Amino acid sequence: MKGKLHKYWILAAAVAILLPHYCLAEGKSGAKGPGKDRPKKVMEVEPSPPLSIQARLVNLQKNKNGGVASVVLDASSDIDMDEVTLSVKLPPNVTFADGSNIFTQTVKLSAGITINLPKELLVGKDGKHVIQLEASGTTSQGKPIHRGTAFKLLVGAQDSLPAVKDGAIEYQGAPDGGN
Amino acid sequence: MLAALRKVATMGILACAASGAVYANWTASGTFRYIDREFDQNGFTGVEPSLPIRSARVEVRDANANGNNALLASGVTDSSGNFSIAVSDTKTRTVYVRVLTTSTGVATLFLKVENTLTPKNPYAVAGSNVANHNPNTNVNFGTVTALIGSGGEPFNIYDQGLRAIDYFAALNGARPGSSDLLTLEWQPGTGAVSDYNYANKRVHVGDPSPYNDTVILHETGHYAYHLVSGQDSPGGTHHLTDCNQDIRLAYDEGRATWFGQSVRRFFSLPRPDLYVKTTGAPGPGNLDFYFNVETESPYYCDGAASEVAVYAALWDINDTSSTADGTPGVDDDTLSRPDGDNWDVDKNYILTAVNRSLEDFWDGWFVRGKGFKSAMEATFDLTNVELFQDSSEPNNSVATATFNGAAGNSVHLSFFADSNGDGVGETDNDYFSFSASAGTPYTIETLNLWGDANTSLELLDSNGITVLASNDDRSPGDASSLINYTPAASGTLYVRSFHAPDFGVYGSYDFRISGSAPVDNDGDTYNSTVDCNDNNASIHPGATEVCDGVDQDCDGIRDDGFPDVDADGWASCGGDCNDSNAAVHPGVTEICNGIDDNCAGGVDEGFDADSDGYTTCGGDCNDANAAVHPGVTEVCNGIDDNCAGGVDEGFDVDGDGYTTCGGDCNDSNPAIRPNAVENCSNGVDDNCNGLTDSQEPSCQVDTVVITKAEWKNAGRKLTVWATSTGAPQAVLTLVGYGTMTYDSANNRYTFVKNSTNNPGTVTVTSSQGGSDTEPVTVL
Repeated sequence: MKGKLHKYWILAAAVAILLPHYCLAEGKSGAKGPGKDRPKKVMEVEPSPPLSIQARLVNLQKNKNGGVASVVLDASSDIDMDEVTLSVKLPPNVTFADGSNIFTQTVKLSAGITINLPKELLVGKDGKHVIQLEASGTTSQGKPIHRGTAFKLLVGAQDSLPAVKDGAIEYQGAPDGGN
Repeated sequence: MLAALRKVATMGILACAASGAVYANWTASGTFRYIDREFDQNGFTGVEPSLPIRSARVEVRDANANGNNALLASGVTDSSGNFSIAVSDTKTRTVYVRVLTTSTGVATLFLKVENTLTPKNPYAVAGSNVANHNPNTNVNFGTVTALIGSGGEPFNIYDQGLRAIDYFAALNGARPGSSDLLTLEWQPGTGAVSDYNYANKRVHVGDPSPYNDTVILHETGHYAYHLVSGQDSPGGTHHLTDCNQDIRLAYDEGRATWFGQSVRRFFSLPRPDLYVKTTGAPGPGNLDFYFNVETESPYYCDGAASEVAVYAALWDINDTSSTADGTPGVDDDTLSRPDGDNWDVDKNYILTAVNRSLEDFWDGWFVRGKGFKSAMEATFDLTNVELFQDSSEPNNSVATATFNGAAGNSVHLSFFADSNGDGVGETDNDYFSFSASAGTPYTIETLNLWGDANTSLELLDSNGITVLASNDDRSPGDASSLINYTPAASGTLYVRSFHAPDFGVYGSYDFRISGSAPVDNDGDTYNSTVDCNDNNASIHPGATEVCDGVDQDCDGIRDDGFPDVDADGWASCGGDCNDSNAAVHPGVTEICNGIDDNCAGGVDEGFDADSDGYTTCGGDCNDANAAVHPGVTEVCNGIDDNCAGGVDEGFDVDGDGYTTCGGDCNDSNPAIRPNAVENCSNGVDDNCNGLTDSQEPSCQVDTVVITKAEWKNAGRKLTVWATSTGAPQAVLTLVGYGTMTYDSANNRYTFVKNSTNNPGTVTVTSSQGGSDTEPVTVL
C-alpha cells in the first residue's frame, strides 16, 4: 500500500510539473505544427565538424624498454568527401617501421563509413608518447574542414590521477615564497 | 580574600596545564594560482600566464593526520587567489594548506569540479609542509601554483565555471542557488567529447578540453538556459556544416555558443569571437578546429535551421565596433543592444514556447518590447534569416494572388507575414495565379529552402477552391515541393504555397512556374508530345506503315501488318536476316557463335582481336597473336602455333622427348639428347653439351694426394687427410676402412678412427680414377 501511494505521488508530481509547461505556451509558438516528437532529457554535445580522425592501440609488444605498438587510424566523415588528407606526426623515440616519423595519405571518405589504416610503431623507450593526428579536406560546398587529435601512446607508463587524500585528488603545487 | 583568589587562579592554571588544552591562534595565509594556456585560431599560442584561483575552498591541514582529524581550519580564496585563515590549535605539528575545486564556504556560489569516474572527488593542489609548526606562529605559505599537468587543468575548468556563473548573475540578477549546483567533471581517458547532461546539471569536459575554454563555456551555456529557459532540442551529435538542422537543435546549440562567447566578451578576454578547440597536447598550436561567431568562418550557413546562423545572428545583436574581434573598430551591423535583452527574451518568452527556435526568439524580441525592427531585420538578414515580408505580399488569398507569367523565373519568398507591422510574425500563405493553356505541361516547384521553410503546394482550379494537384515533399528527405500538371482546358489557375507542419513556421524559399507549348519540328501537324519522331514528317500517328524496320504510325509496333514468323518484332522485309530464329534480328548483341546474330552483315564481329581471320570461338587459341591460329604451319618455337593442341609437333623425330629447337643435337638417335650419360670412349657428344669424351669433365681422372696419414699410440687413433682435383664430385675411399668425409671448408677429405691398429701404409682411391698411397707416421 505504501508503495502504491508512493507511485501516485510521483505521477501527481509529474503532472504538476508538465501541465504548466504546456498551458503557458503563448502566441504564435503555441500554434506551431505538431512536431515530430517531444525530446526526452538529453545530452547536449559540443559542436564539431563532420570529420573525425582517431587512433587506437590494438597490440603492444613490450620490450625491456619501449616496444612495438600496433595502432589503427580510424577516419570517418558524416558527409561524402572526395579528398581528405590524413597525416600522422610521431614524437621523438617513436618511428614507423620504415624509420620515418611522418605519414601522409589522401583518402576518399563516404558518409558514415570508417576507414581503418593499421600502422606499426617502433617505440624506443618507455613513457607517454603524444602522437599528432590531423585530417583536412573540403566539403562539396567549399567549406574547409580541419580536425586534429592527440593520441597518447602509453608504453611502460600510466596516465593516472594522483591518489585521493582525505576526499580530494591532491596534486603537489609549485611553491614560491612564504616564511 | 586575596589568598583565596590566588588559590583559584593557581588551580585554574594547573587544570589547564593538566588537560593540555591551551588554545593558541595563528593565521595561515598565502596565495593560490594556476597556469592558464592562451589560444587563438591556430591553437595554443604558447603564452601560459599565471592566474589566481578565485573563490575556492582552502583547507589548513595536519600533514600527519587523516580525515577530520587532519582538518584544522578552512576558508576561501578571494578574487586575487589570496587567503587568510584563522586557526586555533594546541599542538606543535606539521601543517600544510591546500585549495580545492569546490566553492564550499563561498557565499552564494555553488560550483564544483570533480573527476568523472566513481568514486568522485574534487581536485586539490597542496602547498609544502611546514614542519614543527608552533601554534603561536603565523605562517605565510607563499604562492602555490597549480602547474599544467599537475592540477592546472581542473582549476582552469573551475575558473571557467566561475566566469559562467558570474555572467549568469550579471544577466539574471543573482548566481544560481544551491539546488542548481554546477558540477563540471573531467578525467583523462574518459571520452574526448564534452557535453551537458540535463538530467543532473553536469558538464562533462572531454579528455582534451580542460584548457579549451570556449568548449567548456559552450556547455555552461546549456546549463544557464536550462535554469531559466528550458529546452526541447533532441540533442546528440550535430555538425557545423549542417545547414538544415532540426530548428530546435540549431537554436539550442547556437544560443549556447552565444552564451559562452559572450562570457569572454563580458570579461574582456582575448578574441571573444573565436571558438577554439585544441587537441590538448603540450606546446603551441595543436588545433583541432575553430570557428568565428562574427564572420561565420569557415562554416557559413543560411537560415534559422543552422546553429552557425543562430550564433552569428545572436552575436550581432550585442557586439559593437569596440568588440575585440578580428576587425577592431568595425562592426558589420548597426545593433549594439545589451546582452540582457537576449536573456530577457529567453527567460520570459522562450521558456513557454513550443518547439523553441530562433523564430521564437524573433517574436519574443518584439513581444518583450525590445524594438529596433529595421536593424534587427538587417542584422538577421546577414545570415539569411529572413524574418520580414517578401515583395509579393500581400498575397494571402486567391483574391490577392500574385500573377505569375509561368516563364520559369524564380521568385524569392518568405513564409512571414506581419500585417500590423509590430515585428511579431504571423503564419503566411503565398498565393499565385497564372494563365494556363490546354495541353501545356506545367512545372510548379519550390527550391532553395532556408531556415526550415518546409513547403507544401496546392494547385487550385479556376474557382480557387478545387484542388487539382498537390505535393508536400518532392522526395523523401527533400522538403521542397514539385507539381507537374497538364490542364485539359485553358484558364486561370491558382497555386497556394504554405508551410507544412513542422517545428518552425517561417523560413524562405524560391518559387517558380514553368510552362511551354509543345513544338512540331517536322511540320507534320503532330507535336512532340504525340509524334514519335518529330524530325521526320513521314512519321506521325496515322501515317502509312511500310516494311522498313521503323514504326511510321507511332503505335509502338514496327512494320505491323508484315510477316514476322519467329515473332521477334522484326519482319524479314524489315531487316530480320533469319526470320526462323527469334534470337537473330537487328539490334541484338552479337555473340561469338559463327553466325550473324544482329543482321549487320558480319559474323562474330568484335571477336577477332588480332585480325588473323580466326575468332576465339572459331578456334584461335591466341587472339592476341596474328601468327597463331588454326591452319598455320607449326614451327619449332616452344608454342602451339597451329592451335592443334600440341607444341612443336614434328620436331622430335627420334622420340626422345627433345626437339631440335629444344636442344637435341642429334634428332635421329634417341641416345643422344640433353642430360644423357656421357660415354667417355665413343668419340660422341652424348649429352649435347658440345664436349666429347676427354673434353667432358665427367670423363677426367682426378689427382689424389694424401696430405696426412698419422697414427697415435695414445688412443690408437688413425687420421687420414687427402685432396682430389675432382672435389667435391669425386668420392674418395680409404682402402680397408671406408668412404672419407668431404670437408668443404678446407676442400679436403678426412677419415678418423679410434682404437685401431697402425696399418703402416694407407691407400686412397677416387671414384674419378685417381689414387695415392703413403706411409703412416706414428706419433
